[in-house]
Amino acid sequence: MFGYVRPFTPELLVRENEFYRAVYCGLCRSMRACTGLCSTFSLNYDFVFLALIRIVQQKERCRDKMRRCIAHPTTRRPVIERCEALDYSARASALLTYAKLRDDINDSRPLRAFACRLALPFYSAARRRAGADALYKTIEGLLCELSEIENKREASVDAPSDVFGRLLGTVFAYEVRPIERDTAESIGYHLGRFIYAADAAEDYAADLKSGSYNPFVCMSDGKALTPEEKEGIRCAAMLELKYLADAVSELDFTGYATIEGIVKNILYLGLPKRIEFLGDTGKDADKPGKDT
Amino acid sequence: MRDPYEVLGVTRSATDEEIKHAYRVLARKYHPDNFKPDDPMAELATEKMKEINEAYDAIQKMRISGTSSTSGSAGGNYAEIRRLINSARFADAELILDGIAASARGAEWHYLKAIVLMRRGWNFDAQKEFDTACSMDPSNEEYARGREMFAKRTSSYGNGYNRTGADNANLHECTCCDLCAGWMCMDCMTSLCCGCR
Repeated sequence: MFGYVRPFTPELLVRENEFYRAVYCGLCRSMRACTGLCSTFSLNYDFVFLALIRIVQQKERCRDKMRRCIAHPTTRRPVIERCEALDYSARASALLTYAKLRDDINDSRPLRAFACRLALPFYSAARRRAGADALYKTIEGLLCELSEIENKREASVDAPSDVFGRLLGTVFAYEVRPIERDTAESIGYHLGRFIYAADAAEDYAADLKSGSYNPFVCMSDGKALTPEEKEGIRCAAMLELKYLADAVSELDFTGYATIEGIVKNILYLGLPKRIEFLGDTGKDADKPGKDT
Repeated sequence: MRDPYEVLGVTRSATDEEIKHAYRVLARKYHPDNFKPDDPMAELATEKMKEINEAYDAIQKMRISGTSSTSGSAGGNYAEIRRLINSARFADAELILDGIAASARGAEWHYLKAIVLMRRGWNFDAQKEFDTACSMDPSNEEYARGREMFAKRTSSYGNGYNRTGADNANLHECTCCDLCAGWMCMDCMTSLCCGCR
């Protein structure tokens, strides 16, 4: 589920791609400073998107500097300097990762549960350093609500998607300027719903086989998805993207042309790629390649 | 008070998300922070903001109330449910729908449930209900048109975004495709003019 929100790189302008990489590196730096070295293992692109939206909403000024890092010790590369948006994304990442690990310890798959148990102590420190206790409590509560719905195996895709949407909406809206709060919450909400549903659709075949929870499997009669059903899911997911696009259109990108280019690429090219497999006729497609 | 839907610039059939989006766009435009205190437009903006807030609250009350005064007709009066849907009283409509026993839920139930779910923004479940309605009554055109609602609402997605630049790329350039097309055109034209090859 993490690492879903990415641009379609072939259609990024060179300056957009360079800025995007610089924000990614900047996020890593913020994670090291705010929540410790261990937390950087959960560095992923979704939180870069959160940082970009937040930079625009909080009207942050981005400066970059050429730096080396542990992962790339030989070459200097442009890295966006620490700012509130990057620091917040770092903290949010630590909180969500920790909460997700705690939740997954109760996973029915023993190997996964064991892996989570191993990773948890490393993230405890990150969670403590992240602070934002009120946010963590809300995230924990919503993940609990999500687990209950998943355990009940309700025949509904929207019930769990809605909870995940509200979770991400809370993360996006936390301590944002009041005038931006509703828009931030809406962006997080629709993005969360899209991610949850698209991820579940992608895992349909595997979960049908293994018996793991999948909301689409709960709604279906235990058979593979027909092309009509796939098209139906694709239409519903596209409508979710439309609502997300509406919310993003409320942002004021004046002075942030590069970020606007990246965000629109993610919105109109990157995210639809995640559901491209639903347009395939015939057998269920393999997972779409993440390296776009 | 003016019709609240007219104030926000939306139709009665708009989904909850479309209403929220319309509200936020207007709220940003007329927000007091956009105007200096001595700006003559500030007072007009404040009044407009009040009108927008009242309209939004009125629509929310109608849609989210869920306290149906017509719950006596829980025997499955679909005409009543349709009337509520047309008046945008979706919560009331859903209350009556959910009160109908599972054994009595035919194609029309699933279709109306789909409409109510879609207005609430629960697209995936709405899709499933449209599918169920269509499979129960394949000849019904109204149910078949249900899915088109999605396409209609998504039609403006991506309007104005053209990063591939396909339209601009060949403005001042000649590609192989242009050359071939040019030769084919010439070929056709000469055969038309001369009447022979």
